[in-house]
Amino acid sequence: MELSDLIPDNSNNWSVKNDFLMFKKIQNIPTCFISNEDIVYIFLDVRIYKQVLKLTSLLVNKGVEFYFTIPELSNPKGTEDLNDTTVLHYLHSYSKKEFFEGFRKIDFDLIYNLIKWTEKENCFDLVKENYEYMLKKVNHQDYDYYSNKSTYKYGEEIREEFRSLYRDIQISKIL
Amino acid sequence: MRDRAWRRYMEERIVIRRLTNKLHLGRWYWRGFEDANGVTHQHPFLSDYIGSPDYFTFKTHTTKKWDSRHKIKYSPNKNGAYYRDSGKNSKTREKDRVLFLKILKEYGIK
Repeated sequence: MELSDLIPDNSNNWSVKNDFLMFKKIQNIPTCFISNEDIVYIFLDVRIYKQVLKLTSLLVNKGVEFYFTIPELSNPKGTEDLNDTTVLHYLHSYSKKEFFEGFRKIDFDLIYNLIKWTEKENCFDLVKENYEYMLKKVNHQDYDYYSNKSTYKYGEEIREEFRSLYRDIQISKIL
Repeated sequence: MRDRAWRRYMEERIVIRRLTNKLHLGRWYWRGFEDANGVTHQHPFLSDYIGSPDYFTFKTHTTKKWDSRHKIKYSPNKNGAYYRDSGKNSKTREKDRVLFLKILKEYGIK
């Protein structure tokens, strides 16, 4: 499998450079790469969320094994704690409206993909810690004393989803 | 010539210019810059600003006559005075869009 096979549409903005599949949006942004084990890793990047969703649905249709990863991994500097950062980034992206609604539209389960990845890397213990951090972040509210109302940064649907998300994670783990 | 593709090209140029100005101003801010993915960059690049609130704000802004170097917007007749936002016969895409949205709201479509 080659990176040029993974281009989802006929747009001229796609290109292959330095072992990455790039998409041009003002500048070239890395979209995915293929690891030594022949597994495709997609960068969960909100900047190009439409292209990420297109690529995901293409890989699901092709039946290729793929996981998501953090956009900083395209930087040669890398990150200090890759597994921890990746788990947090999965959950952080799931809380984003673009991915939350987008993955639902293409009928793809991001959380199941996360569990599969943690089983591969043997780091399921990191999920609960990061989930609790994200739950706190998603449910954070600011109280407006002038209008006596609480405002949330995240939508109601996302907050409700996160309340029962850990139960879904455990069910996905058993299945 | 001045079709949708040309307008998009011009918009992109303007957004890049505005982002570059922002980049030079905020590059050495000690708290860094948090991008759309929630990652903090101490020394952000232009690509880190894509998807941030600034990026969308700079796309929404329209160029007025005093923003332009030639006192006019994209016109080849750069010598004459140009008041695109005033006058009885002024027709701009922005005004048409506002009118269109108003009609859509009247009919309950949007």
